[in-house]
Amino acid sequence: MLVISPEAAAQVVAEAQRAYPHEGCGMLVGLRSGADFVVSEAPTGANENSVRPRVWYDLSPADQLRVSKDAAARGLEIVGYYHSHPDHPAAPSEGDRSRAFGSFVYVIASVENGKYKVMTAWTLDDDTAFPEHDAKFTRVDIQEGRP
Amino acid sequence: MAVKVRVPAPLQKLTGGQPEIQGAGVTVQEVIASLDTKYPGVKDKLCDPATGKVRRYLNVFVNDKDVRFLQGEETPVKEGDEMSIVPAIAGG
Repeated sequence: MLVISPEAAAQVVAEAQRAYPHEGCGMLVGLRSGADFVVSEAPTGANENSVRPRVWYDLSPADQLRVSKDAAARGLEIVGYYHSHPDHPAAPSEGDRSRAFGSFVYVIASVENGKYKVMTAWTLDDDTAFPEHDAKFTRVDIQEGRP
Repeated sequence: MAVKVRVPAPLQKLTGGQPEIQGAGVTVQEVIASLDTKYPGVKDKLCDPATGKVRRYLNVFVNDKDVRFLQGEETPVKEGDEMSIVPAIAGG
């Protein structure tokens, strides 16, 4: 289960629409609680892919470092990531799967003609997986609410 | 040289759930090697065993500098430095 605050969910939507027709991306900050992810913030990060940003994202490592340190100072951590699929369903692509790391939750927000449609959440079935793995994504239920 | 190393969630299974661990050494490479003695398996997760280089899906920062723009695995570290392992997050 992913419990996401209304503010964080709104940030995901805003970034997905702002970045259109490019892929927007960011981090999910909060805590892990057993198998659940509790997300209170969704700071944006730069999509550094300049070659094909409509179909691929490379989240800025420097933005991650900054957000990670800020979260740690407040007893929080990056528990996952989000990105948008412009004019494409909110389902993970093969690139999303193969480049994913275990232990994180990945949120995908679909945008059609610039308007947000829906978001889904996924996690790998192997907590220790690093990219170029054979792990599979499993769907995670999303619940909007207060941590 | 004692160096604080910040590790992302997928590595924390190997570090007893700790997001911050202590390493030692005078280069990034030495610090990574030191981690493996206390947390077996960490080095193979961080580095390609064939080349000894940090895996391409990971970024290593010393303080706020990406070591790819410094001296890579040979980047020097000093007492009190902070090393951060940052996953390269990407997809389609």
